[in-house]
Amino acid sequence: MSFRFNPESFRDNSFNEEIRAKLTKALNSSSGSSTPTMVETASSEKGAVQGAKMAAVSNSGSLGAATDSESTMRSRKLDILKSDIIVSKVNFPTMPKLEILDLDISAQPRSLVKGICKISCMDAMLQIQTEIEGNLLLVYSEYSPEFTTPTLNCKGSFTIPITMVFSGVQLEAITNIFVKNSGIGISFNDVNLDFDFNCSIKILQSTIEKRLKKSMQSLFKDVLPKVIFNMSQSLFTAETGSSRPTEAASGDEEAYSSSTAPKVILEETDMQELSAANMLRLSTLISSRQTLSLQATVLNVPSTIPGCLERQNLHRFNSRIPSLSNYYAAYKDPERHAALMKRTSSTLAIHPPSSLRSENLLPERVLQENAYDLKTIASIQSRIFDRGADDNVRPRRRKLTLKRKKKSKEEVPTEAPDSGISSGTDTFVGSPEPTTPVAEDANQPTTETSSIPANTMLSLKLPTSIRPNYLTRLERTLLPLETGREKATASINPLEEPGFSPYRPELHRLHSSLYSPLSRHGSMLISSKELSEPKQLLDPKGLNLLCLNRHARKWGNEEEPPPYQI
Amino acid sequence: MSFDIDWTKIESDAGLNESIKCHLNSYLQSIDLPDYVSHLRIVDFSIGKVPPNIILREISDPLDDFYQALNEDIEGVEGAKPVERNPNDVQFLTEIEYKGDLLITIAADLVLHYPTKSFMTLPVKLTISNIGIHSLCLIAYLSKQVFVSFLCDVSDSMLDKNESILDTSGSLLTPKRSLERILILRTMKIETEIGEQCQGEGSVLRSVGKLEQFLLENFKEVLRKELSWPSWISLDLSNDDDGEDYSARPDQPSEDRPV
Repeated sequence: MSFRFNPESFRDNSFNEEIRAKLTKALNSSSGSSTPTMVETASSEKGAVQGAKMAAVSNSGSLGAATDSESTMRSRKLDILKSDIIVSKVNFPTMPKLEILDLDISAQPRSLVKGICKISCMDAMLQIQTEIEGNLLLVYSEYSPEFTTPTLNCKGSFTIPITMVFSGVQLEAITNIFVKNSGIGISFNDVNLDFDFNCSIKILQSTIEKRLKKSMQSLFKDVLPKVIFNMSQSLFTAETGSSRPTEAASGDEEAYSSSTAPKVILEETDMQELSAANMLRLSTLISSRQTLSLQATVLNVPSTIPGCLERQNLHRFNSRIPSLSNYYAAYKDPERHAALMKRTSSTLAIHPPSSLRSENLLPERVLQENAYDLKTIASIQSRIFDRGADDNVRPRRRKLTLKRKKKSKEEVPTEAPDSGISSGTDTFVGSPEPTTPVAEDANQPTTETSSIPANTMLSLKLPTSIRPNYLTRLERTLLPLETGREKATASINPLEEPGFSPYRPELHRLHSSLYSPLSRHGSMLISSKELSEPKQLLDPKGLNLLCLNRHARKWGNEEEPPPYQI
Repeated sequence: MSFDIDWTKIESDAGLNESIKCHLNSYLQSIDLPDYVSHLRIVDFSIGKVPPNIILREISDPLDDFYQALNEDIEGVEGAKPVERNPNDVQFLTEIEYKGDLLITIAADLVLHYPTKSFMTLPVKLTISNIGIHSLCLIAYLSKQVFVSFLCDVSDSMLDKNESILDTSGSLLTPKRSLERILILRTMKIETEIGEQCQGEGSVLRSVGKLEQFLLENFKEVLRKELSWPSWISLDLSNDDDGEDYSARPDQPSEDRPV
């Protein structure tokens, strides 16, 4: 067995008693309506009590069936029960078995865990007792309008005790269990159920049994999954009672109240998918086409729109993102690089090789040749941290006292080390495209050839040939690409750095050089970081703050410490 | 300058693995677990045959960030003097490289306390191996505190293996963050085993790939959050002089011991 059950709880009678009490309570709290019964019952533990649950539900079904069979009035609830339903005996002589056959943890936030389980339960026994009204005419007349009621000769009540025993309950089922943020979904695939049914009123036995077996299919297909989902939902959302269905479908043993429709829960992930910056860029793109200008098609191709980035140019941004790999690009292992280039040409169309994704590694040669600068590395790392996707996240700086007790573990609010950043920023190696000789133009078609990667590598690896003033200009214009939305957000965006607008002419120049993929150096694009993952180039902090701040609810809250304790 | 670690001495010490295991187990017993986890224990521990490689790259003055953080910490505290540079403050930049065969097997029981106490348990076993680290680590001492932070990863041809494109469950196809600042744990293998056979019946679920990946990602994330620059852990030495207690950081592999 995959799951281990505590044999102690089966050895003495406490477990049986527990289940018995729960079932009794569940069956009576509903006063005849079937739905809450099932909800309550379902809150019993899922594996072991499956048998009992099944029996209980089928039992309530059986009562409904009995009611039905004895009355033609489906629309009105006829209560033939004269007393509470008492679960007099529950017995699990052998331990139930619960085996995990497969387990899958999904990367998607909506469904966390998916498991396939085999449930089996042998020889379970359940005995319930109640009293029913034997005088059906009386029951009928109580619920009928007075003018339709004939005068009855025999108005006395005739109470009959009834005992129903489900013995030898054998259940074997393969279930799919989904654990989601909103609840637990379960489906029964391969149900094998068998039981002996014994009723103290023999004349009813075959009728009730027949109806029970008929309703089994819907029980496992609809009722139990619904019940479990609703039950778990109330657990997951921590709303007790209020969401629980109280109205039951009348009389019909198979109908399930429609009021139990699952709640719609808005998840954070829904918000996550709509990046404010992206939406803004999209709307810029769209609005750029809504013009009557004759030159519009020339001027407003995506590449000329500030803030819009064509995918094939993405790698240039990546190559200028402040990262260790870019900063020390000259030290990258040339052989490996070349090998990757080769690979790129063959696999380009499918996926980018992982190493062409931007990674942040300090090339080993930098260490070997002692060419590193500690402060620069630290400032680059801090900067990457700052531009990380999560807003309002501060560095964790825990303090541990060394006496196996935690003195304090508060998070220290830390500003970005601004001093270090500027120095690191200005020296980043840009892709030295404009300095590439024009001569290459003639023999470089736009489709790549094997000779191209080598050229590109050379140009990528020669940051020293770039004039410093060129670099600073590039660096300045790297971020200001966002200026396209500057107008729209300037008034509402307090976090946007000022001083972008003076660079507009430069920005335009950059665009013309940077954004035209079919320019003469276009072929170079393919070689280095083509098709890399889109990066979060533009810092969305400002916009997130204003409209889609998914952390708003957590504002100022400190994150919990990890589970370990010192 | 490299630390010279005579690993053969460790390796030949037969009782070492056992004693480390006992030590860790006694530590695990002392921590409070959530009630759905019980019997957390280390079943198997082997320190491996490959030593870590630790190179001291630089000894210098501590970075400004440490002072800034300390001063921000005491901001508003009455009578607190700002922390200033002291000639005794020192900072080590070390290159830590580990590609050894350390192996840990952890076992635990997941417990369900419903409807009765510890009614159902699910045994889980994790085997951790193939740990690969190659990073720069900053260790600074100032103001009677030791700061430890992993600064960045260092490229390493052995650790930066290219993933197969055919591997659909690999990280290639999963959504990624813009730029991973640091990984610290470049490689790590987690093998899972769920369930328990009882009298030859039932099945044990082994190597649940998604679960292994999930655990790995979470584990890396914790390290990244807690230990990588600009985050750090500071060990406060001001209260006592008992020396450092390394079990204070259970998620750290043993190779950063020679602090």
